[in-house]
Order: sequence, then structure tokens, then C-alpha cells
Amino acid sequence: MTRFWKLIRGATIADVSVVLATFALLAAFLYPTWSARAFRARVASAIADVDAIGSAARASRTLQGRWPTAAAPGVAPPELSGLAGPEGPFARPGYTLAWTTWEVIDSVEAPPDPGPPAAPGDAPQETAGPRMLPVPRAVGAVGVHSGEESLLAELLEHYGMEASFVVDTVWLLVLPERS
Amino acid sequence: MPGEALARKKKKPASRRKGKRSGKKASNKVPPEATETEAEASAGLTESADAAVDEMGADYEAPVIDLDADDIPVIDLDVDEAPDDAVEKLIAETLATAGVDDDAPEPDEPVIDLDASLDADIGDAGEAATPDAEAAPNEPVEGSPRATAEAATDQPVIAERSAGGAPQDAEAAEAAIRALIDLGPTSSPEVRDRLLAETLAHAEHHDARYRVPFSQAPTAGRWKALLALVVVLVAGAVATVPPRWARPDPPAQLGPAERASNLRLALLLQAQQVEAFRVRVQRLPASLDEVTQTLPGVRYVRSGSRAYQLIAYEANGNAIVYDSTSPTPPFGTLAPNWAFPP
Repeated sequence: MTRFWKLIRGATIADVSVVLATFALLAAFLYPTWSARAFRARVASAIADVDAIGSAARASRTLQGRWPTAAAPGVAPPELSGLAGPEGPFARPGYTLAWTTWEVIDSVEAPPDPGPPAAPGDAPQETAGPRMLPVPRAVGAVGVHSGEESLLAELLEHYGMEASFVVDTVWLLVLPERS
Repeated sequence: MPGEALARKKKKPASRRKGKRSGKKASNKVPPEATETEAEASAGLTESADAAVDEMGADYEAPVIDLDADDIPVIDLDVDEAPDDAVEKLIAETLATAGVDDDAPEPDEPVIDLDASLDADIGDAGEAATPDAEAAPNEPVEGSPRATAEAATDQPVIAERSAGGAPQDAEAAEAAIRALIDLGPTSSPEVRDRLLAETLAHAEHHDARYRVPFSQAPTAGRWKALLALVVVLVAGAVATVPPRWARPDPPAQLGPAERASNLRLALLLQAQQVEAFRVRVQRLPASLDEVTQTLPGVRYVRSGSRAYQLIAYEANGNAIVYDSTSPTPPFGTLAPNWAFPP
């Protein structure tokens, strides 16, 4: 420590300028790499969180026969409370997780209507086409809220547009029935 | 010969100053040479007085002196009662002008050092032609080149004046004495120029001790500052436009087409929520608040009891509309996995 202070006392303005300029040059070279590394770490963390939430939700649906209860962004549903992190239930540095449930319409073929019984001697009834009925089906979805568009784009690129999309500041992954 | 006697006194100022330097008064310890000089001066003055009396007129009747008488008048020059006013005046002025008054204190001799002669010369230059006896401190030091030169210069002048004989009257004697002691200008333009040059050289020598040489060559500090500037500029360039080898892979970005496709998927999922509401409630929702889940940035417009539109806007302001009665072909090409039943 004493040698350090002796060195500082003997330094001139030119010496300090050279040191500061060298630090600035190193920062200019290292900051993009450091920033990219931090970004990659956030993307990996988000992917891990989404996979963990999806797996836990599927497990919960298998066990209970339904998807976990939907919750607000950053709030973990009771079925997924074990996944809460140290900074909050579903809050992470740079993004916030959300579990939501949606409904989609499936067209289900309805059984044919028997109609009134035919009288003897009547002509047989014309065969009608299959009758399709809309049936709602619940799906689960994992959402990631973040103001960093690059993070959402990375998630979209990782999971594909078949299962996810980005709207505004939200990336949403709709979990299929079967993985 | 008063001129010769006075000249002899003038040529020996150093011996008198030596006596003064010992701290004793000159009157108490007068050297034998000075006593003889005073005697000669007194004798010369007496003769001059007699000559002056002779010229005063023939009617002057000299007293008859009886050598045998006891009351022979004796002219004592040292007593106050002088035999004649002219003689008394002549003696007084001669003594006063010649500086015989040894009781007057003379200033101490300045300390002799390397600069003493220079200072003395400068003082003489400032007080040119002041033949006062009180100017003793500015007199040249004995043995100095200037003192020797002045002594050599004064000798012929004194001899010339002395050769002229005794003055004819008191005024002539006074003028002669004043001319003898007038040393003339103590410096000439050449001497002053030389003194000025020596003074300037001396001052230049003193100033040179404290003068720091100014180097035109860049010092280490300048090189460091220049290096720091260059490094800062390079750092700014790297931060603004990083080189390819120092630039990591850019993150993924959403293009306009991808944004539009994502908006259509969002409208399709939102339409599923509206249809699910209609299946359950058998009517269209009045607003999106009635459905369970909504997506941000999606507007709902109901047209009649069986038709509705969902609208979303791209970043450039273009609207993407989903019409429930006749969805546009782009929506038909979408094949999300959640759209298919398990």
C-alpha cells in the first residue's frame, strides 16, 4: 500500500493521462465483448427459465389434469411456486416471467342427429355431411416481458414461430399438448 | 612654493588614509612628511604675502625693525592677530582649500573587494568634476589602475601650475589653488562606456546563474501527453466503429416481415379467445375486457352480432386487420402448433 501511494505521488499529469487513456482503450476493446457475454448469459438464463416453467406446467397438468392457474407477470402461480428466484417469484435481471392460460377452438366432429324416426314406406333419409362443433381447449403459455428486443428475438429464434411470437414487449410460447 | 607643497600633499592621499584606517585622528598622529609639508607651505605663503605687500603700493612704509630692541614685532601666523588682512585671508583660504584641516573627520574607506573599483568608478561617473575634499569615499583605491592613471595625469598639471610662480595677489593665489585642486572631469565618455559594459557584463553573469535553459525539444511529459491523446483517439474510434475481430456476433433482430407475421399470430390467438367466449356465452364480447386473456397492442371492433375485427399496428403505422367473416390469406398460411388439436 505504501509503495502504491509513493507511486501515485510521483506521477505527473501526463502519466495519469496515459494510464487513463490506456484504460479507455481497453474498455473500448473489452466492453462489446463483455456486453455480448452478459447478453448471452441473459438469453441462456431465460431459455432455462422457460424450459423449467414449461416442464413444471406439463407435470402439473399431468398430475392434476389441468394447467396451472394463470398469474400476473412476475407472479408465480401456486403450482409453480418452487421455481421462484431470489429476486422475486418470476423476476429475473433484465426480464420478467409470466404464466398464462389461453383458449383455442378445436373443431370437433359432432355425432349425427338421428332426427325423427322414418315411417314405413318412406324413402331413406339423405346422408348429411359430418357436423363440426367448436370446442374450446385450454393451452398454457409462458411469457417473457422485457424491454430488450434482442432478448425477445433470441427467444423467438430459439423456439421458432410455430410455437411462439413477439408482440409489443412480450414474447409468448404456447405450449403444445404434447412436447 | 605653495603649489608644489599642495601637489605633494595631493599625491599622498593613501598614506593619510592609512593613518585614518587605524582609527586615530590625523591631527594626533601626523606623519613627519606632512609636518614638513606644512612648514614649507607656511614659508611659501609668507613669501607670497611679502610679495603681495610689495605690490600694494610704494607708499607702503615698512616698519623699521630694530634687531637690538627687545620689542621686535614677531609675526606669528598661528595667532589670531594677523599683521594684515590680506595675508590672513590668503592663509585661511589656502588652508581651507588645500584641506589642511586634519581635524575634519573623513569617511571610512569602503571595503576593498572585487567590485570596489567598479563601484568607485560608477560613483565618480555620477559625481563628475566635484573637487570637494568631502568626496574622499569616491576617490580611487590606492594601487588601482584608475588611481595610478589619475596620479600620472595630475603630475604634469601641478608642475605646470607651480612653474608659473607665485600669485600676485590673493585672488590670483586663490584661483591658482583652485585650479590646482581641480582634478577636472573624473570620467570620459569612453570610460563611462567601458564602465557600463562592465556593469552589464557583471549583471549578465549574475543572471546566468539563475537562467534555466529552455529546450525546444519535446520533453518526456510532452511525449506522454501526445501518447495519451493518440490512445484516447484510438479508443474513441474503437468504441464508435469497433473492428471486425473485436466485435462479437450481433444479437438476433426482428425484421419487418417477422414483425408482421408475429402480429398476425397474435391476432389469431386473440381471435381464438373471442371465439371461445362466443362458444361459451353464445354471443360476441362487447370488448376485450370480457375475455380471459388479452395481448397488448390489439384492438377489438365488433360489427354486428356475428362479425368482429381485430386490429394491430406495425411500427411504421400500417394496420393489420383480422376479419372474422373472411380472414385474409396470410392468416390461412399460419400454422401454429397450438391451432391443431392434439
